[in-house]
Amino acid sequence: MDDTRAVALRVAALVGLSGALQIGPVAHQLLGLPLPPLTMSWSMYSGVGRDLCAVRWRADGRPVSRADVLGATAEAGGERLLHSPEAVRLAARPLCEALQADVRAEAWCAGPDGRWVVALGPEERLCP
Amino acid sequence: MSVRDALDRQLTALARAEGSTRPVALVRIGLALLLWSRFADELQPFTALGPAWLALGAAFYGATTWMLLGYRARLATAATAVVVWIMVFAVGRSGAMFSWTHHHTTLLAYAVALLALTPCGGSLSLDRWLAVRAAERAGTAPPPERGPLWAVPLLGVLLSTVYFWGAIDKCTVGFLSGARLELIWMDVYAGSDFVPTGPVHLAFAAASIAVTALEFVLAFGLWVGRWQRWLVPVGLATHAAFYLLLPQVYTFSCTMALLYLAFLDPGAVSRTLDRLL
Repeated sequence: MDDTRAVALRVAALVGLSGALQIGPVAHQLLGLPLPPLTMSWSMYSGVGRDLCAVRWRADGRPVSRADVLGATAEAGGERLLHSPEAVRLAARPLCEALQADVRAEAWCAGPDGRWVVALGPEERLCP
Repeated sequence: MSVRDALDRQLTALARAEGSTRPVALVRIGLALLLWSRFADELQPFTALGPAWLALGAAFYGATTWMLLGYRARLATAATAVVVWIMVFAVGRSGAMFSWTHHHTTLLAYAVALLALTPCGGSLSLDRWLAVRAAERAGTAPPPERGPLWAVPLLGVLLSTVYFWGAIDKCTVGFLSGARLELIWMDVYAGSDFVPTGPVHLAFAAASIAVTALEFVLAFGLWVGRWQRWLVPVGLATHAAFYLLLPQVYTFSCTMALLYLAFLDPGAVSRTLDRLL
């Protein structure tokens, strides 16, 4: 193979393969299409914590920590991660039993675009 | 000179590039070890539920060992690429092994395939040992550890692609506001009783913007020789931090770090090895 042809083939391979690496991201990340075969998009860690809620607890108007009240083990083993307003309400029950107080929570859950959305207000009583 | 002429000249220079084969040899050895680190335990004979799995395991161990030793290294690397592509794109994406479809495994599959286009057996290999021995028997000097490096930039393009599209993925209000990073922090460390407010929230927002900006800078900046002095340590430190702080990173950080060799001057890498050995 002469040098010119070899160079042309190498340039074609460089351009073609560089372009091929962009097919998956362009299709999936940019155009929202299903991932074409043999390609990959590069959305790392996109699913981690996607539906979590952040919760600030109060008992009789004072801030409380579930870990302090229930112990780190109970908090970690049971409901360390709360994924919905309903899960927050359920997580309040052990606090209600332990404190015998008016337990309330402010909760923000991840919205579909990844931003925080108010999910639970402090006006709701969580103890029966 | 027009832009087209400049591009033609640049591409032609890339296509004709020659240099030390040591950096790609290091990538070959590193990738073989990373493949073992990621897949070997799942392909040991006692994990096989049937002959097909046994055959896949045999092919994996055979090809990767062949690649590591570097006998007819390009062929060995191509064979490894075929096996890993079957694992990732056929077995993995069929649903049989979902964990094989992740980013770190796909990155390995692409890297091995592109490496097969380079003279990755020109150094630190059985190929090299045989060439040196043949020269000694003939009473001549050993052949230089040089080869055509036209395909090496493709490993850099792979790295830049990961950075660029990773950064594009982060260009959302959810990520740049800090909320996504806070959610990841809660999921991994703090749990749901962590409410980021005030300066903590600002710190997460700043970190989110910094990570996104850094990925954009690394995607393009690593190609600029004079920036590498700063960007390579920063990039490597970032990958080390990801590996240390986040779960399920697996071989991703190490593979990315290994691929940095594609950006470095092959002659400088070779001279550094000479000084070290």
